[in-house]
Parts: sequence; structure tokens; C-alpha cells
Amino acid sequence: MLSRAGTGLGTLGLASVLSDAGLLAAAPAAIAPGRNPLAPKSTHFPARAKRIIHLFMNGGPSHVDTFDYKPSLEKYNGQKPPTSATKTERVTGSTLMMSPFKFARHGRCGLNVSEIFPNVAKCADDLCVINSMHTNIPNHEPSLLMMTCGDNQPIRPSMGSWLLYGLGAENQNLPGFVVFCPGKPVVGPQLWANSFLPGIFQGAHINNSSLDPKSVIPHLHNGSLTRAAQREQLDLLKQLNEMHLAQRSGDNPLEARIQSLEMAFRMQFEAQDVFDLSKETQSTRDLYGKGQFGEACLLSRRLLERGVRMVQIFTGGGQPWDDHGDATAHAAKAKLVDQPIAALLTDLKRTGMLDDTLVLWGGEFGRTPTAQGAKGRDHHSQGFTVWLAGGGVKGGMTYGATDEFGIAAVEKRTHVHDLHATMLHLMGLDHEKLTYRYGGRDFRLTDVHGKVAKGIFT
Amino acid sequence: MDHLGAFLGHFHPVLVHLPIGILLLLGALELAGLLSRARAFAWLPALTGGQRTLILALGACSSIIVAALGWLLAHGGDYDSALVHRHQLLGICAACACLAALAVHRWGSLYALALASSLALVVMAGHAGGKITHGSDYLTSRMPPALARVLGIAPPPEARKAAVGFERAVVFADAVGPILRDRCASCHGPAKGNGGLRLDSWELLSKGGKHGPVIKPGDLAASPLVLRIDLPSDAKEHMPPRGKPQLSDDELTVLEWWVGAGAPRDGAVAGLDLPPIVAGILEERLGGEATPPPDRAATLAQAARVAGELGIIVRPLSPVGPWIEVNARPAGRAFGDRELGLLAPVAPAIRWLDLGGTSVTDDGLAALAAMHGLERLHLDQTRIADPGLVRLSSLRQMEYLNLRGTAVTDAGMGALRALPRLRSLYLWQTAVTPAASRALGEALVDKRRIARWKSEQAELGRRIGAERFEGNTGESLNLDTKPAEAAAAGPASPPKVN
Repeated sequence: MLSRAGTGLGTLGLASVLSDAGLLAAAPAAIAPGRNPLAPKSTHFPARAKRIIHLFMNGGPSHVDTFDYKPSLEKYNGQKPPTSATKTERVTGSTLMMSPFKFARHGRCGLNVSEIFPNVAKCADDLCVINSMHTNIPNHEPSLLMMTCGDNQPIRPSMGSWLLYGLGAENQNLPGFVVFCPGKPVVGPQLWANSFLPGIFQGAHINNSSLDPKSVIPHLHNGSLTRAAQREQLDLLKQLNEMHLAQRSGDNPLEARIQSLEMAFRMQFEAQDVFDLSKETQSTRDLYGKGQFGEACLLSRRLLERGVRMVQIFTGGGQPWDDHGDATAHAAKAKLVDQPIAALLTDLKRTGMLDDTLVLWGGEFGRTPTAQGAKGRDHHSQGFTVWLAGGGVKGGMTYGATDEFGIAAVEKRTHVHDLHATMLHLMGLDHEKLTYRYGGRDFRLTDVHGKVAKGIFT
Repeated sequence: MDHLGAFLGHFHPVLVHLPIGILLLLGALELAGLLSRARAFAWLPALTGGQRTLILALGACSSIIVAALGWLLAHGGDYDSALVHRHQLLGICAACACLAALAVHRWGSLYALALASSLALVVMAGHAGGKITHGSDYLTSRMPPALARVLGIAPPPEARKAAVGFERAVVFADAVGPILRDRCASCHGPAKGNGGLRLDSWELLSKGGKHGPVIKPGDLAASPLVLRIDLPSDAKEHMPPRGKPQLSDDELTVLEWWVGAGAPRDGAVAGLDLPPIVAGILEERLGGEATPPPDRAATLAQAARVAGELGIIVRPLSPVGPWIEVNARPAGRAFGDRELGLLAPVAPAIRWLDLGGTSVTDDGLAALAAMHGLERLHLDQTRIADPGLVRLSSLRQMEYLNLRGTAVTDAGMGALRALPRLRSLYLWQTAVTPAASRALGEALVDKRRIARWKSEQAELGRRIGAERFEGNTGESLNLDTKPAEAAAAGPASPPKVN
């Protein structure tokens, strides 16, 4: 009965969406009550990927210690860069420091991967490594916002919210955008905020420090009422709420609240099931390993296969990859995520989901190829590395390059805006047409920038 | 001498436009001079005697030179002799008329007659030359049918290609002949017949050229026709010659299959045991029983109704075009054979279909036969088994098939060989053995094309230089390269001049 209620709402929305399919750019500013804003929508062009999982290495992993091998750092270890044109923008270090980790070639493509990612390295032929990333500011807050919301300033909608706005959700009983973070990252909930988009597009934060399916989303279980009685109560409440809303048209938070009440009711049916990891076989659980990140990865697969549009997994609360004092500390962080990431790629591949699931790995920026103090590295925004896998990107390739010391992106430079434009393109959306009118002008995820990196498409 | 002759002869098509231009300009100037006698056109210039002599002399000289070059070209090339003869005759007459005009240009009426006839002859000779190079129907082949009817010209014989469709196509006439006609017959056809070879009919092809037969039915290695097309595009012997339109990979695959199969002429394509790759290409080229694409508005209206009824997701794949994606997964086990049958009104428009986790059965998959356009199909975690796979064999466009967690076995893999475009197949949690899936892969892969692609990649790699080709890892940059070394390597071995 409950699942029928959910799909009934979905199909209600479908008819209205089909009637204006292709008019995405002219999406209405306020969503009329009774119309489901999460109904699946038509794309601008055929999509290569249907869902995204963002493995967010918050804190900023060092590119030259992970996926951007620079032999010249060994040769010039402890010296100033011989070419004077390139300087890191933070003044903390001036002498180059070689990576404390060994690199080796992996896969048929011969990708150079650091020894701290032994399991991910086995998936080298599935990775599309973008070595030429750059962003604007070498500080966490603006760069985290840039990576998640496409602007250094706060109060912009996150990428997941934009995707829900543009594409809708395929499962009406679960939130369409789920964020796993044990605790709170720097900046906090603004990183998955809907901002000026309707509130229903906000990311649902799951604190994965303890993942008991009964308590992971609080108040899911109603001990005192049968479902039918709950439904009756909620229907009455909804009527009252809509009368209330009718007097206050365009009240965004109020709309969001009404819609999230509805979703909370539908979720108690499916959420307990999706968060119950005991339903996975032991071999699958072993594949992902123990730990918060591994469990979040496995849950993500369960969410994605049920039609969730985007999942974002933070390495941890705070800024775990922020190793100013000692670059070798990266090894411990990599150990937390290496096996789960490889397991996720393997699992997506064997279930056939990798074909239309886009995986993004990376931090908000890189770290300086020069030393900070004796053996640490500072923030670095002129050149860093992310990788993509699955959903319409070529595996086993590197795209772009930094200079020979890994200081600045020089070849096929790819700004975070370009990455966003490319990812939206893979999802079937034209980043210039996915707009929302607010405060008197049209906003985009990519602001007024963004070039689609077509060279990485299959 | 022959070489020099051939070399000079090839300047004919370039220089031939010189006398044509000079004579037409002279005609225009003389006309202007005539008109300028009338008061209304007094502003027009008239030629002086000296100018006329100079222009005529230039025209006459160039036409004699061009005629001589033309003779050299005809001598060395394999052209249709009747066409060449006519062109030669007209060309020589035009040159003579031009000389005559020069001789008599001081006698008004005689000169007018000579100039008019040389102009007429130049136009006729030019047209005859055009026929040799571009084919006899070069002016009319693209003429709109309406205009052709008015002028009483028979419309060009339409290739049968579009009309027949895969089911009724005949091997040479419809599958192979059009490829040779498009790509080869401009030089090896009625107009030219280079190397004494014509490829515009099965009989002429089997006769071969002046160097012997071009195919040995059933033996690719002894068939210069396919061997020479297969050569790297910059090889001297490669056909078609550089700069001419080349055969696509698909066309070459068809040609290779045809020669390998014994170069048959008659018989229906559909009746032969085609490898899946060739079947796929030919179906695409020849087209099926022409089914018009479904109508977008009607499809979407139907889709909305069906989706509402069944609790499933139906979404257009793009803002234009009728193609849709149907996702029955949200309905789960409640979606079965009866529900699948209800998709019939929108079946031809379905490109992506997700039946994962539903309760469809082998028999129910009979409904998929109407979904000719299906490209992606999820059947994972259903009760589908081997008999169901047989029902997929008519889905020629299928590229992605997910059978994870079903009851299919090795025995069912044979049926999938009928899917020429299949690229991704998921078999995790089934009883299918790696050997069986590998065998299926081998059957579906065009090995010759991969070998060709690999050799091209290797060649490309060699030319670009290995270090750049493997991607920029930073290793190629070496700051220590001493400029002295490079300088020493330079002048030490001056290029030899032969």
C-alpha cells in the first residue's frame, strides 16, 4: 500500500513533466502544491550517466603523493625550483620535497599510482585521471564551496541539489541526494545546501559514525500509531498545511517542510531496508571492509541502485587530508579509503552499474610540491588531481598535466567549473541551460564559466 | 619520355581553363564593343586593334599548348576511348578555329564568324572533357526531378539501396555493388576503366584488369581488391588513391566478408549465414522493412497513461525525438508479464528498458520482439533463464544487457550471438562459465578490424614518438640535455643529395 502511495505521487508528477519536457530552462520559480518536484525529468540530450557518487577527500590530498607522479621532485629534492616562473601561492615553503611514497605503473594503461593506494591501483584501467585541475583560492572554506557548489562564496546550491532540480529522483521513497559525513566537515551543511533552490532538493546528511538502520535517520519509527492511522493524520495535516501555504505563496522553507514530512512518512518503509547492511552477503561486506568509509561506500551502492541521484561521501569530519606537518600521514588516510573505493568500483562493475554511474574522487585542492616545515605540505590551488570513473568516461587515461614539478596545471587546464560542466554534460544536462532565476537573475552551477572536457568521453 | 609525357599531361586539366577564359573574355569584350556603337551604351569600351591581336594570340597559343598536353594525357591514361576521341576532335577544332580567327582578325565579318565558331567549339570541347572526368551525367545527376521532367531528361537511375530493405536484398546488386559503385567506379567504371579494370558490374569485376583477376573467391590473401584497400592509406599501392573518398571500416568489412564467402552474385543476403558483424552493418545500410519512427507527442501521451497505470517511470531520452526510457524497477515484483504486455502501444519507441527485480518470465519476454529500437536492457534479479534469451534474438540494436543474478547458463549464450551490436553483458551471480562468455565475446568481435586498428595505432605511435604517445608522466622532461649534444648531432651528417 505504501509503495503504491509513493509511485502514485511519482506518476502524478510525470504527466506534468512530460507535458513540458524540454522546457527545463524555463522551470517554474515556485512549485505549485500537489506537483511533485522530484518526478524524473527529461534531459537536454541523451545521458551517459544516471547517478553520481562523489568520494570527497576533504582537506585536500597531495596530488604529487597520489596520482601525479613527478620524478623531477626526486632530482631537485631540497632545492628551489630551477625554473623561476612557477611559484606556489602560499609563502610557507620554497624548496621542493620529493614524495615519501614510491610510485609504480599499474594496469594495461600503465598509470602511475602511489603505493598508498594499492587497491585502487588495481582498478587503474577504469580511472580517468585529470591531472590538470586548478581552483581559485588555497584555503579550505572557499575551495570546499567551489568544489561542492561552484562558487567561492556561500549561498549557492550544491551540485546534488542542481542535479535533483534538473533531473528529479527515480525513487520517491528516499531522498534523492544523500551525504555521508561522520560529524561535520569544515563549512558544514552549506556544502550540501539547496540554498535558493526549493528546499526539497537539499542533501540529506547521514552521520555514518554509527550506522544502526533504526537510528541512522532519527524518528523514523512510530511506536504508537499504525501506518493507516499515520496516513490519515498526515493527510489531514497536509490539507491544513496547504491551506496555510496558499496564504503564503512562494514560501520556500514552508514548502520544503511540507514535502519533507511526506517523504519522512514514505521513507520509514524503504529507508530501514536500504540502511540494513546485514542484507548484504558476507563476501560483499568483506570486499568493502570494516570502517565508516567502507560502510558508507556499501550503503551508497545500495542507495544508488534504488534510484538515488547523487551520493557524497566525506573522508571524515573536519579536514582529514590536511597534512601540514607530515606528508607521510597521508598513508593512514589512504588506508581508510583505499579498499572501500576499490570495492565500490569492483561492485559497480560486476553489477553493471558502472556503465551509468559516474564516480568522482578528489579533494577541494592539492598540496604544495614544496615543503612546509621539515616534511609537510601546504594548501595548493594552481594544480591538483581528481579522477573520474564509469558513466561515459574513458578508463585508463590521464587528461591534462601539471608542469614538471607539479606546481601549476599547464596542459588542458581544467578548472572546477570545467569539471562541473563536464559532469553535468555526462548526466545529460547542458550547464548553460540548467538555470534558476533568483534575485533578479539566472544562476547556474558553473556561474559564467565552464568548458566541457569532451576529450574524456567514451 | 613516357614519364615526362605523363607528367606534362597531368597539367592539362589545370591549364585547360586558360584558353577557355581568354576566349570567353574576348567574346564579351567584342560584344561590348558592338554595343558601344549605340548611343545608350556609348560608355562601354571598345577594343583597339592592338589589344585584339594580343588577346587572340594569347588564346591561340594557350589552346595549342593545352591541346598538346591533352594528347599526352589521353596517351597515358585509361579513359573511355569514344569519349576521349570526341573531346580530342572538338579540342583540336577549337584550337584551329582560334588560329583562324587570329589569321583573319583584320577582316570584320570573317573574323566574327571564326570567333563565334571557336567559342562554340570551346564550350562543346569543355563539356566533353567534363564528361570524361566527372561522368557522362555530371550535369544532370543531381538535377531536381521536376526540372529534369520539364527538360525531357530521363532521371538518373536511382540506386536500389534505399528501396529494397535487408529482407529482400540481393548480394551483389544491393549489398556489394553499391559500395564499389560509390567508392571505385569513378576510376574503374564506364568513364575511365583505369588499369583496364571496371568494377561496376559483377561480370566485369570477375574478368579482372590488365594485371589479371582482382579477386580469388574465398581467398582474401590472393585478392588484390581487398588487399590494396586494406593497405595503410599512404602506401603507394593503396586504393582508393590518396585524396579520393575512402571506404569506411563497415564497407571494407562487407567487402572482405563477400570475397571470403566466395564472391556470390545472386541470392538473398538474408538467406546467407552472415557473421553477426556483417549482418549488423548490412541491416543498417540496407534498412529493415521501413518502419517510420514513432510519433513523439502520441508516444509521450501513451507513455504517461501507461506509467500512471503501472507505477513505473517513463522518461523521454531527449527533448527531441520520440525515444523513451522505461524503468519498471520501482514497481518491483508487482510488475510481471501482464504489465509488460501493456507497454505494447509504446513498444517501438523504447530504447532503454529496466526490468530489474520484476517478476517477468521467459514467456513474457515475447513482448520485447516489438521493441526493435531497444539498446539497453536490464533483466537482473529476475527469473529469466535460457529459454528467455532466445526471445531476445530479434533485438538487433541491443548494446547493453544485464543478466546478473538470473538462472541463465552456458547453454543460453548461443542465442546472444544473434545480437551484432552487443558490447556490454553482465553475468555476475549466474552459472555462466568464463569460457562460455569468452567464446561469445570472440564470436561478436570483429578481429580483423581490431588488428587493423592496432596496426594503425602502432604506426601512429611510431610517428608521434613513443614518449609523447604514452601520456605526459613528467618523465620525458629532462633538464640535463646539453645543447652541445644536439648541436653536434645536427651538422655532423649533412643530408645527401642524389
